[in-house]
Amino acid sequence: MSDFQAEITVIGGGVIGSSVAYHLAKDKRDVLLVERGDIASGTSGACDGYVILQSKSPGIHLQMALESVKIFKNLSSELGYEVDYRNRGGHMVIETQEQLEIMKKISSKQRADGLDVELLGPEETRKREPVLAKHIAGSTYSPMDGQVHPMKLALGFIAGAKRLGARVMLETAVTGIRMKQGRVHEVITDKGTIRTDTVVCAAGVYSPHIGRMVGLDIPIKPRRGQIIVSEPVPRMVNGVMLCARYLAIKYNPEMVAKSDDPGLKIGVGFGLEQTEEGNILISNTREFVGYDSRNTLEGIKYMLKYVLRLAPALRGICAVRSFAGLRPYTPDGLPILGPVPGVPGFIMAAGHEGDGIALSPITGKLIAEYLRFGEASIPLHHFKLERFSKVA
Amino acid sequence: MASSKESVIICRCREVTEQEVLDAIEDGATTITGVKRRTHAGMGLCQGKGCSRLVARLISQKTGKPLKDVLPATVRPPVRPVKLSALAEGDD
Amino acid sequence: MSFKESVDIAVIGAGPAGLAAAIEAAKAKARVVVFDENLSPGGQLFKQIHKFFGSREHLAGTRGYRIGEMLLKEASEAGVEIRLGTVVYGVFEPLTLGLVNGDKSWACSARAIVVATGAMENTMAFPGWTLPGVMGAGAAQTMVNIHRVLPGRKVLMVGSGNVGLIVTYQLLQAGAEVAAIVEAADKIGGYGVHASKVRRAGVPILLSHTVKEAYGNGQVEGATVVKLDRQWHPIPGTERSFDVDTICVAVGLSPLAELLWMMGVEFTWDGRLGGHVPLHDEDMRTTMEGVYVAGDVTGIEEASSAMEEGRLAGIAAAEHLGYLDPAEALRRKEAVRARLDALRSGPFGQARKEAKLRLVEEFRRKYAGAGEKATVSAAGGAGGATGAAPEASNAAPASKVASPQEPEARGVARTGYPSPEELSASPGVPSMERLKKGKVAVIECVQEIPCNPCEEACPHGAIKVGTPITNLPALDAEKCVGCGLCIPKCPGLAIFTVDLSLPGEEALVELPWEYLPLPEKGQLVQVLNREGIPVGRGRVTAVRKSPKFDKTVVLQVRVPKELAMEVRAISRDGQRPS
Repeated sequence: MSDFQAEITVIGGGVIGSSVAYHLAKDKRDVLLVERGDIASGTSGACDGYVILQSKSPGIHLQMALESVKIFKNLSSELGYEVDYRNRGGHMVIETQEQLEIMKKISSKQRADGLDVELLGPEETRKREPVLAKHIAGSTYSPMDGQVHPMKLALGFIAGAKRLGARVMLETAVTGIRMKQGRVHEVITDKGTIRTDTVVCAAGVYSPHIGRMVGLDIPIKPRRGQIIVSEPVPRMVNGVMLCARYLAIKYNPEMVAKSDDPGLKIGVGFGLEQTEEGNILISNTREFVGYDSRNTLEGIKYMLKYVLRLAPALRGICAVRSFAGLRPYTPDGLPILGPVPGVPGFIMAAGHEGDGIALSPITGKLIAEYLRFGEASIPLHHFKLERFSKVA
Repeated sequence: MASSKESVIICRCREVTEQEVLDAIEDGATTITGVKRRTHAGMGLCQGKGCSRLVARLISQKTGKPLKDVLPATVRPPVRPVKLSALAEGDD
Repeated sequence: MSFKESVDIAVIGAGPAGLAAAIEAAKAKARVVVFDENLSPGGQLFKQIHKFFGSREHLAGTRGYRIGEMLLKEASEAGVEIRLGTVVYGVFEPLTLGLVNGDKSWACSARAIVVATGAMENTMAFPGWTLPGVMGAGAAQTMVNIHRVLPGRKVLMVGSGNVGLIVTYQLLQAGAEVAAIVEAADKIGGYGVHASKVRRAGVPILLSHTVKEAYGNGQVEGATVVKLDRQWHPIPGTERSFDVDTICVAVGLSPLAELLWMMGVEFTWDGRLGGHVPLHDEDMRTTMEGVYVAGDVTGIEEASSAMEEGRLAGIAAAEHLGYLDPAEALRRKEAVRARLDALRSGPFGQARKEAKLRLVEEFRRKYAGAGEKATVSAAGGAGGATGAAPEASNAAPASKVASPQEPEARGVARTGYPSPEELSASPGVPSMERLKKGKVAVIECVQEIPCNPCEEACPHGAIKVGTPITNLPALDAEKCVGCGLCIPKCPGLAIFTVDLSLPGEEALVELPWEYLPLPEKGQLVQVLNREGIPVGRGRVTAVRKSPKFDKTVVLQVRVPKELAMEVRAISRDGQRPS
């Protein structure tokens, strides 16, 4: 006899699992979310809050993001929980002519996909974001970019889900998944067993661990991102900002190996946003160091060297904290969503790397659609796990 | 005494009240970090130096978890506010 | 300084523990650098203007700031480099400090690190606690003794541990008025002798009371205190208001262990030591190779123990790096441990000794090899009752339920001054016959605290403390000539002389005095009893000063004979600087 019962069990209480639980509850499904720690206690509690469309690859990835933004617009009122979504617009800051050429290409493709994005000269860019350095070559700007508070987002989804009847078990670690007659039958946890027909794996960087419980090899790897938080200051950063170099590294990891820039070796990028409380979040690194989520001397220093080069106006403000999160990296930069072959009842919803916050609303919606209709409004085959086994 | 709980500040930096902390514990927070995540107590300039112990005590009182098991939030550099420019300098 | 430097031993914190560690390591010829974020070294020592307890090797009878001066001199002679204004903003692997000084940051890699970062004051949340005028007692002490600024004119002190008592006394010395000390427990947390000083100055100590709220328009204008029942719940209807402009909170300290948490050393919990403390062995070694701890960061004690722990850590770190051979290191450590043990004895020290022993044993159980034995505490007799924690907590009591077997405190622990029974049972108080024969010392020291300067102060060998130094001082009244040299030596200001042999109706009382301005010889004064209540008039017949007294003045006051065993102070009215 199982200790608990649920039609659908969601594993993981980050933004993805929380969104999945919310959207399932909204569909009146009997859903139970289990989380090893607390809501947003992993990656979702250690990240920035970018909802940036420009950083998404043209095509299906950008399409996901565009759909997500539609949900974000009314999400606080829908959830009855303020998640601090702000549609402040965003810049991809271009430092060199080489980057300018790349960004011209990317942005024209994005425009073709329906993104409102324009190329701005250095002066126009600095007029909008005065913290930026004089030497920049310009930016691409999208009024559709924005930001959200990641922890409030996860907590908001949970609050909404609970109100619609979802159950949540915190501090509950999944230790196994029992199959019966070839399909998912029971989730085993340290707080008891859960009789369930369907498991949604939203365990982020820990998904490989969950996957092994049902014999799956899930190619998600933790990639550390370090972030520095400033003291609260009056508004200095108007929208969200990323650098064009960051995009290049994101899609061309081999660039890092080729460079002799010590900062680039640890994937230093430039990202700025200012929260409602006035703290400026300065990001980011991209490092494969296993599950080590500490901050490093090098990470802090090289990140700031680069960021202050692009935004020298921040020099005089104080850092009050740093933190680091583990992003669920996949080899092709796209998440793994939907059913997996050979394990009926096991659904993936993980591997968004740095896009989890931005894509969480649409991810939850698509998973709920799939579990209701057997298909989703954006076809999930783009995100299937098998795409990796074919390559291998 | 509800009114007093609403008026007693626990985290001075972010002006979080005792009632807000108690609500966070009610919402499932059993750690200082859990309370911080929900209320932002401890996210201000002093990074919880002032309120951690007060929050720990409230968690212990409300959940019965012994104080020894209420661990401080993860400590991250810098332990004091430090100018960004200073952190970026030196050491090449 | 844009480079990565390396040192043998990096000490974090230039307070008593850190300096002592640095001195020992540097004496062993290790290259030691001490980092401190403050602009002057010494930690909290330079605001300790009172005389310390202990014995000669603990520098007992010496004022804290002088001990600070001595440590700095010793450090400089030993070749210790002290970098001030330097924040250790993080510690990274492997044993690398992230440092910032002004606009510069750099890294320092060390072969060993001693973390001596001290403690911070606990806060207490009550309605109005965020009003300007509510502050930590330590903060008030810094204002008064370092910056020479009064935090306010009229103060309510919350907490009767040694910090609350000492700061109350120092506020009085600085010219503030202290309306009362409130204490949530049903006994005074700190030393009776400290309590007696403020009681005879007229400060009431309200036991089983707490602050209900502070009020005022934009700043503290008053405080309401309320009585607590045995379950620490406020008793309705017992509220009282105090017209104060300052509320000092002295409800204990917590180890400032952020860097140790960041490094990932293992912690353990002990409420007697202030909460979470780094697990360490009897050499102050943590669970991380090369990382040592000393002082309040390892558990709240006082500066004397902090220095001894620092010395242990410094010796152990030097030994770890090969600067001392094991035999020599052991000899030095054993000497320090013996002194440390003496400080942790008596009813006040016992709890800390037991807590430290438990901690060291936990370390040994988990990490040390077989055969090693915890030696933090001499295994001697005490065993039984747990003494009062030196810091009584006024905050709400998750862990503070009065234990049933603990006998109700009486006498000095409840009133703040020794009762007639305590005095008559005390070996330091002479008989009435002896008093009538002529001038003789009256030692009103009735609690077993680790302190013996009176023993050495007596040129006639009339005072005996012996071993352990927590013994009550015993007066050999036949040897005592009443010279009064012991009066200014007693850090507790608990020794007086009384002369009942004068013809006529008057007697002479000599008492220690540390308030300015001094009364003048011949001046008529109101005389006060141990509760600070005026009991009559007296005349100042001598004002004895000496460099050897180190700023403690001995006043001789002529009083009616029947008051000679009552009068222990004079009124400060009209003496207070305006």
